[in-house]
Amino acid sequence: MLLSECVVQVKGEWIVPVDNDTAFDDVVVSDLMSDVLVCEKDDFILVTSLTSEQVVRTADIVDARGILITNGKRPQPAMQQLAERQGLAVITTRLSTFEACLALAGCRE
Amino acid sequence: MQGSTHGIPIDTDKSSPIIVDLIYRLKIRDVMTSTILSCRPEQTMQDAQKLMKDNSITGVPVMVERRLVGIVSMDDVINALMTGTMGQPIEKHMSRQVIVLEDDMPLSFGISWLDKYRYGRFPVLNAKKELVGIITSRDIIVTLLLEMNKEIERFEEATSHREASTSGFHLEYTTRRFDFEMAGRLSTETKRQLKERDLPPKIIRRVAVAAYELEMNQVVHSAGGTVRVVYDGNQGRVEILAQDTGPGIPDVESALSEGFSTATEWVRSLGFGAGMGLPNTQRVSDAFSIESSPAGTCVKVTIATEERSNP
Repeated sequence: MLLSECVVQVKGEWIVPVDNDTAFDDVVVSDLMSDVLVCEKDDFILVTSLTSEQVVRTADIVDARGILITNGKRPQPAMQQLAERQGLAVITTRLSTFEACLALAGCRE
Repeated sequence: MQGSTHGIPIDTDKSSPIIVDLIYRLKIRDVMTSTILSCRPEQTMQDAQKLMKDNSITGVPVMVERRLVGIVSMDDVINALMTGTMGQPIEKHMSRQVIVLEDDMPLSFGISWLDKYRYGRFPVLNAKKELVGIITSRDIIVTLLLEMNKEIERFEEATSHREASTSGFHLEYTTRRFDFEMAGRLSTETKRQLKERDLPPKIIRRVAVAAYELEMNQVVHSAGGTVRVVYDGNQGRVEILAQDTGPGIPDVESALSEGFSTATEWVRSLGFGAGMGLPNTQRVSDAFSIESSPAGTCVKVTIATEERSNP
């Protein structure tokens, strides 16, 4: 799935758009960054309801393709700035984490 | 005048060569404030006080035409207030022995004179002995900060350039308790450096995870410390050394088991403290050792930069 398709699926909004519409084929959902660091997946997006700078640092370390923030939250300014600097896509959605995952799972089938 | 507060704590001879070069290269005219407010000797102390208040300044040069005849300061105003002589002309209260600087003197003079004469400001004259500006310790501090920032940027650029051209690198960052904003900078920079050297992405990820977990551990659990990353291309390995200043881990064995956590709810709400930090670091390491006492914890990690061969 492309990030742009993800935005449509979750009725989301771009916070930090990226030049290349990156593809991802997996999703990691967690509000615990240590859990994200443990996972060994590739080409995934990170779905979380956290909005701190550390989300971007974590996502960058594990080469996540982008970050989807749920529950209608907006990134904290420091998070947004860091994502812009790192060129890491950030999307936000009004859906809850559960609903967002349902929406993403729906289009995987 | 309360002098000691005006001094600039820079040794004009023995500081680092970059600083010494800077304070000789910068001239007084580069640092001074050029818009000059002044008053005349026959004006009253009240006039002087109003001028200072309206412009948020603490001293004014006193001029007769283009000639500097004295300087009146906030201290003089306070003295006049205390003696009920605010209606008197300024010339009765001003300092006549004015120490001046010349505009083409190096900034180092300004710094040593602030220390030597203990005044808050010096009028600046040009070669024709005309008043062209005023220099205060604040002017000097602001300019020095800006210039030092530029120097540091230049220095950092030169350093990273030099590091990129050789195979190894060495990075060290300091952490502070609960300073979540700083945490992660080392791992971000480490990742960038390793990427530049075209190391396998899986290795880079393992190094970055270890560095990040160790940084985070210090921020969450310790009083602060340092984390150092050393990459040696010839040896084909990355070493990470995390050393903090306490209070130590009472039960290291438990800390190494997954899910064991002593983090507070607040830390957990930030996405950390899941009890994965040390086990996770150990998982990505080829060699891992930990020593802990109330004086501090030291974790040493080695990661080989060749792909791990199957055991």
